[in-house]
Amino acid sequence: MAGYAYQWDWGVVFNAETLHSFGLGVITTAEVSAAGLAIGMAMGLASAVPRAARVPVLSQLVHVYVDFFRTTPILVQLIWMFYVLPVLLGINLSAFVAGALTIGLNSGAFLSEIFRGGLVSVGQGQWDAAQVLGLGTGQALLYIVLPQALRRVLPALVNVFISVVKDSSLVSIIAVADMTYRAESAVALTYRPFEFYTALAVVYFILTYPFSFLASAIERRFHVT
Amino acid sequence: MTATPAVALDRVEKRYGTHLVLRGVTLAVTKGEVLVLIGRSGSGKSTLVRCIAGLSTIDAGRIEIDGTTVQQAGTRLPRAATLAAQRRVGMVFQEFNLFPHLTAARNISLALQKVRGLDRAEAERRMQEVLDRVGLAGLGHRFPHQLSGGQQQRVAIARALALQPEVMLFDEVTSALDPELKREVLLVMRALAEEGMTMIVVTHEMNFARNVADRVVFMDQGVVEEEGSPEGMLADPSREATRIFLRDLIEA
Repeated sequence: MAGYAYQWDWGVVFNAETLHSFGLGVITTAEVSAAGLAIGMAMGLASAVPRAARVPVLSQLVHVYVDFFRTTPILVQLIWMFYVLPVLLGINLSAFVAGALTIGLNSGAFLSEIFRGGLVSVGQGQWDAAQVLGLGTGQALLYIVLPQALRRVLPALVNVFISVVKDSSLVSIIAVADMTYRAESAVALTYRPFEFYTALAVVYFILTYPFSFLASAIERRFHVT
Repeated sequence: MTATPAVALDRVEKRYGTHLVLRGVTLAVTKGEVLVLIGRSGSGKSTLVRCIAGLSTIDAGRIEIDGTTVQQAGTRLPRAATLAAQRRVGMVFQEFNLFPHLTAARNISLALQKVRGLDRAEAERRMQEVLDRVGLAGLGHRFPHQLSGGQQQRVAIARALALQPEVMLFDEVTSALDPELKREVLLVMRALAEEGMTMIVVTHEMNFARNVADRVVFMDQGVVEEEGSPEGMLADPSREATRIFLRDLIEA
């Protein structure tokens, strides 16, 4: 006897109402990922520079931040951010903000390590050349060191970007209506998990796959050395 | 001599950890002079040049550029004045240190715009002028990796010249080049010397020293061991250490 012959019914997915709902979920996923990435890039860069430059107190603080977010599960961070932090601080965080913030701080910790590695990999000779030309430290960083560092870490950067889009599915547990949340709701209504989770996987693939193309296009454009 | 020296060092000391690299160097370079620094690796000649360029801070003594003190151990100097004086000095490195993500043209014009505040057209004009001067007119659009080692080093020289320095420092600028590429770089340096540029040149090229230098300084273990005219000193050194160094160089 062959395996259980499942009767697929794609009609539950491909109808106007469901597609509309799913489409809104895709937008929310894109929004929470983009916001998270923006926060992550800012945190990553801002925290990598003092560590690469070994600024005394600041780099120790960054170390604590990076280690904390790297060694605890993002799911726990998310729940903590949404349920615990508002009580402790007496503030209100919308689910979306809590989600974007968690994803941002989490990816920022990983990006911090990546950027630091990239910055350190640019040799002292580049700093020396910038200095004898009269460029200040900030200018040397902006025009000389950072552009080279970013190009070198591009592949690692793309990995984090892809992770962020995938990890954004976790925000569904704090009821952000992203596409995972909407798929789960649809499953609850239709009892058709096979169709919805298959469709969900395909959409995540479609959202993340272009990042790898983008990376190689940028690498070609900028003659990475 | 009453004229202000272009560069003057007064009992300069520099240490890395516990190792004393420069042990009291006193040296004055007059305007228009071409001074060639020779010595073994580790004798302190590169460190000396880096101190003059402002890339290393000294632990004792004083450095003046055209009469302005740019470094004095244990003294905080007015930053604006030292920066202004330091900008009269250009430097070229052994490893070129071109910016690999920028074209040759941009390597040259970046500081003209961002440091000297020239507008784009003026920076462009001066960039073309110095590229032409090092014999690379028309190659400005190339990235460093699209140029030969000799061409890269000439771009590096052009980049320094664009800022119109009064003193040029050369730190073993042909050491990383294949023999056939050294020549084109040395010719550019020679032309520069003939135009009257004040130059401090760290090199192992004894022909350059013989033909271009006004004065040769031999450094050994962090001090100036001997100095003199290229004809006199290279042919007939008076110190034993100089004699051994020159003999080893020929035999190598």
